[in-house]
Amino acid sequence: MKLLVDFNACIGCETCEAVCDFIHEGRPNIRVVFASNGVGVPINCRHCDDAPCMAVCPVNAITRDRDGAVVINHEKCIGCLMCLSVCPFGAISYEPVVKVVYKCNMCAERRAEGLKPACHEMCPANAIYYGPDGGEEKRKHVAELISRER
Amino acid sequence: MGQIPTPPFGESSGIETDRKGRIVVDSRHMTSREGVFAAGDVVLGPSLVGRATRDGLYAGRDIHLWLTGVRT
Repeated sequence: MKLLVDFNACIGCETCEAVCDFIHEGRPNIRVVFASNGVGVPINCRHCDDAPCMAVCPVNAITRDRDGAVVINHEKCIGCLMCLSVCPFGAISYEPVVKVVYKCNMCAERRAEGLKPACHEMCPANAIYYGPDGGEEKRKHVAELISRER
Repeated sequence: MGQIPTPPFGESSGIETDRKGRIVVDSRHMTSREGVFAAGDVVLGPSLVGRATRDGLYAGRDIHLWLTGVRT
């Protein structure tokens, strides 16, 4: 499964950030960053196929669960911040009190109950996709669509 | 409902508003009138949808805590 944001459809309303903030008690894992031209860009973990954070973690605290989400085991994490430095999207944050890193886990608690990630459910513009990975063909098709629109 | 308190909304309601017409709430989203809660644009002023959504979510939790007597 993939959790992807369609930047063309996003209206930058911060609803995803709000609901993530509420679920994770004031620590949102998806953040809407405003570019210099005022366009909102939600930044969250892409759960990469070849995740650099998983490869670099010295204690193997970052694993992939059965839905394909990259999750951090907080009991194993030693807070060395290696994952934080290799993440290409800056999606990982540091909790200075407990000294562990945290990031989006595709709403693991909700998925265990058969629900979908909250940001996907709440997005008013339907800009957050949650579903199976379309593969190389789909990526090629979408890239062509975007280049034509611009 | 809306970005301003829905009329008629006067002094008689016993709900305090500030200079810009926004409803004044405390840390548990309760207005100056006991048992009346407010959240969203009517408290924060016109802003992004997400900020109102967040305020509403937290207000919902605060109302639940107040009704169940966990926090008075």
